[in-house]
Amino acid sequence: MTNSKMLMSLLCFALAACAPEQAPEFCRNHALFHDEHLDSLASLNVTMTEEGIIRSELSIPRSVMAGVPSVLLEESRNVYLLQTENECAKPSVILIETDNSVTASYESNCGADNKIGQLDILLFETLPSLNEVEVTVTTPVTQKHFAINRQCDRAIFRLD
Amino acid sequence: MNSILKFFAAGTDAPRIADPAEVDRLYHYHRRKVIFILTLGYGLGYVCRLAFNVVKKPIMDAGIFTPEEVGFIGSMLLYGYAAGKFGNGFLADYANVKRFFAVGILMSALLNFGMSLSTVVGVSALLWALNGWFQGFGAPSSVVALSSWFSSHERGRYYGIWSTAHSIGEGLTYLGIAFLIAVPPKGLGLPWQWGFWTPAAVCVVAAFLLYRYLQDRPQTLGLPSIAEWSKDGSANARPDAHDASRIWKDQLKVLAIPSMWVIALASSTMYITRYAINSWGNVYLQEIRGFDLFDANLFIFLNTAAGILGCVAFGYLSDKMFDARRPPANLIFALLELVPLFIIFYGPTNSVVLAIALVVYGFGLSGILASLGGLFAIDIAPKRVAGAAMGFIGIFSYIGAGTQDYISGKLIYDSEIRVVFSIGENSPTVYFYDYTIPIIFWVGASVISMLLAASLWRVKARDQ
Repeated sequence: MTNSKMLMSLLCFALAACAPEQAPEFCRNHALFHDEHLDSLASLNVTMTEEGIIRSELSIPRSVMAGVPSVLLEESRNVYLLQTENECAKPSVILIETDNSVTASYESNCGADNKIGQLDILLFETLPSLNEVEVTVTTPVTQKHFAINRQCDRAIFRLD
Repeated sequence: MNSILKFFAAGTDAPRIADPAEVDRLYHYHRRKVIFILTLGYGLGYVCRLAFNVVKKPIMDAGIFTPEEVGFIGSMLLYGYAAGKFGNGFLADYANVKRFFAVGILMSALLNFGMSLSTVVGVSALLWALNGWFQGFGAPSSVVALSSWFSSHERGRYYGIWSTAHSIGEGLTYLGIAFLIAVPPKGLGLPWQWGFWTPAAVCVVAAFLLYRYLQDRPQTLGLPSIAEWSKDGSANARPDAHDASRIWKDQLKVLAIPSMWVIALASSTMYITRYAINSWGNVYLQEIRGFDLFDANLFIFLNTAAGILGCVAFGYLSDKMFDARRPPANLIFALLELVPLFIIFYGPTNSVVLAIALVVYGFGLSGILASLGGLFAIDIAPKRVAGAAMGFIGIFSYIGAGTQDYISGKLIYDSEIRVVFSIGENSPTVYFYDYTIPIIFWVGASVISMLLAASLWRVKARDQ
């Protein structure tokens, strides 16, 4: 084998060996067929305002609740936790149940000068049957729309 | 050590070719080859400088580095480049440029490959600083090669051709590399590491081409010097040893010119905006304006492509309309840069408006860049210390650019909000940033630059 061939083989081997593990095929292609299962999806809309108010609206199909009492959703800490510089006021919760779904609305007032560092969403721990949630988060400067699937370690963007 | 110096040293003169026809034939042949390979090699090599800008957002999204760390790493390249461009300028004057340039690009390729393996901020910063240093081999080598093969009366034209290499590099990066990383259907959706592997491979090819086809001084082929061949007395291609010993003294004289300090500060603040848009512009467009990675990089490419015209237009306008006075043209181009900036960040969110604003911004910025980054400084400096003036302005400019990268990253990181989904061992995280304060920093820098440049309205060019 010539030196150049050996070098090329070594380079190919090095590239292959160092290649990061790809996300499962399902996660990489999910955005392409996401539309097909919209009816059975949970959705979460979070809006953060300049005044420091965080509104979250959660809609969950009955099938996803699967034996979990909906009263659990009345406690906001089963759905989300806020990490902020100063403490936020106790959130208000409105729970509406229908035959097909459970809808919960939460509102936390953290104050205009408060710094919000992190919002932990605990839905997947509270609802073991939940596989996917479609999320829209709106901040005072931007909005992001994505899906979180239990099988995927990253958010899935470009759903439209 | 001696063998390394010997490897890089300029070749010795070959016995002179006596036949004038053969001299002409060889000169024409090698000049075509030199300008082509310099432009291609510099353009391909440039890809290894910009790769990090394209993969910034995927790296931040993957939680590998925070924006502050990304800014810190990015700033290291600019500091390394500033030092490299300054220091290597001296070395390139006495080097065999084909070897010097090729080794610089090859090292840059290796460092890009190293970047793909590193997830440790200190290691990445060191690799990227070294990359900046080795990238600094390119410009001095190119200028030396141009000086060796083209007379001063034609150098402007060939310098212009070579300058298009920047756009070649930016096009390959902002479109080509973005295509690899962007998610389908616009891109291939490859992992961010490919954003370093591909530039590394491109730079290996560039290094090979430069080593194989770039030519050392004409005298090493038995040809006369360019001054002799072109009968251009002013085409003194390379300094002699006596000149070299005076370089440092000449540089010190530049420091005594107050206007030079003002230009240095104006250039430095202008570089803040320039590199903010080039480094963070595509991240901003993705994060705040919702464009995908490919489109965001396409927008950034538009501004860099328009820059080619801006450079040419500035020289023409200032020469023809203002009798080689730079301040009026400085003001026009500064406004052409500044007004679109306001439109980009505070104007309508329409994509067509954004594209037009970026084109006009790129046009204006390149004009003012040509002036503050070189022309105006050379006008004001005594001609015998023009090179030192360029070096002085260059250092200030890249310190501004590098500091910008870190400050921007820190300001962006300070606004971070993480939305974390707890799923067993996995915690998919989506990041949100607010660019309000960084934008004030970027636009404010351009306002200061314009005011500083305008303060030199009455400064006149020196003839000697």
